[in-house]
Amino acid sequence: MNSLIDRVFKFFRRFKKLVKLIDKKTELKLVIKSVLSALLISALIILIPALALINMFIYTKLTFFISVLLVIMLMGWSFIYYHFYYRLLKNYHPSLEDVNTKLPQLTESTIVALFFMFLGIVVLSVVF
Amino acid sequence: MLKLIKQYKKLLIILCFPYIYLLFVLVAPTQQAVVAPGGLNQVVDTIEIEGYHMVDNFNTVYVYSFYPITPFQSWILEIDESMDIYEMTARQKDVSWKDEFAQGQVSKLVSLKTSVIKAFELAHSSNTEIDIDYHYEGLYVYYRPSRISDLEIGDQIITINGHNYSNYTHEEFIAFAYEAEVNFTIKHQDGDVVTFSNVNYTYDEKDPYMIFYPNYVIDSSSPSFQLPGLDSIIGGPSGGLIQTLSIYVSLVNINIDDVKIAGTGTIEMTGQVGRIGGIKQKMYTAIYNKVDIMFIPKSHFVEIPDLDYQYIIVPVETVEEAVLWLNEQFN
Repeated sequence: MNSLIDRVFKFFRRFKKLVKLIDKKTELKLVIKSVLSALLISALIILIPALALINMFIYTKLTFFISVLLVIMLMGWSFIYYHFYYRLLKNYHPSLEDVNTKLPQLTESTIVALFFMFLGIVVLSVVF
Repeated sequence: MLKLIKQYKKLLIILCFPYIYLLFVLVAPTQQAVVAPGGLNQVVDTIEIEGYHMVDNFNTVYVYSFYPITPFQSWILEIDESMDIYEMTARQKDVSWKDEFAQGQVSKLVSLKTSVIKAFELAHSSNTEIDIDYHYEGLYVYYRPSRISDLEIGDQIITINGHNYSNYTHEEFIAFAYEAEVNFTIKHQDGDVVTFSNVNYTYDEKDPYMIFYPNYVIDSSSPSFQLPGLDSIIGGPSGGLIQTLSIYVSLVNINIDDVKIAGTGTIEMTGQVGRIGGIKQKMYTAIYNKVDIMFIPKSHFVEIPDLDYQYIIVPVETVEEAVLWLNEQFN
């Protein structure tokens, strides 16, 4: 048990270190540019399947199932967003090529996806 | 970002066309509407009668109506036999979502009041202590061409071209409303605030005809009742028949046992059961919800689809016929 907690703490220390390193090497202006561009790209990618699902709400018997799929899609969107965010960040800051961005990318994506999952559960339990 | 775009330039250009096409298919509205199977609503949740236990056997059947639908929805629904796709009517094209909701609420209010009046009158013949007093008070606006912005759906018309409702029957009074040029005196109620105004209307050939509902006001009743169903968002007049039956059965205390009864059909003050929209979808809804008995308007009987019905279909022309059938089956 102790070793598991140690591993988790180690993991978060590594994550914090990497985030600090990335923060040091990036400029605010270019970070904002990366965020906005990643938002645009990920929204464009998710738009078509999301619209297809929303169109399917016409099958009233499947409403709950489609709502669950929408929540899963929203969780998937966070992974797409962070993938493009770090990709663009590396484009704008070539010095980041040597930094391991995979770890912060996956950690942040997972945290946001978990947030969407809890939000989805709350909303679905209120609606259904 | 530009670097990224340049890197995938060819791929992005190729994907751009199907993307825009898909977006159009998923978003663009068509001129089509669809009726889809819905669900059941227990009448027991709609009305409360003081000192009487409302039976929970009776259910109204609702269906969903969506318009306008997208081309994608039109394609996927074409293969579903339980749904009907049709060209939107002139009235559907003319009303907003807000108007449509108001229409549902007006027709539900009228339907509930008519159901109560009819059921109390029917029950009065078995028990003279059950009584109801009501009077006619003009018309409710159900549909008006949207260009007449001064007239709102749900407004009450009390005078038409100088003729006051109090001097006429509903049939006589409504006839004035369809004259080519009319002047309405309307009563508009917003919460507790009541305002009166005059609206002039000249019929134009492009206008769909207006639709009105009678406004019967219940002065007193024994026993008294409440209508909690007015707070629900589901609207429409098609629950009239089954609401009347449910109230009647509760008042005269017919033992229905454990039978799930559903039904559809509007109710008139004469007792006539009127036609409704989406009969096919209502028959499917009754199958999905495993009802035992389904009342439908007689005029719809020839239109219902040939399905494997697990319930008894009872076509009726009047509410009296339905009451007679129930008495024969359960009394």
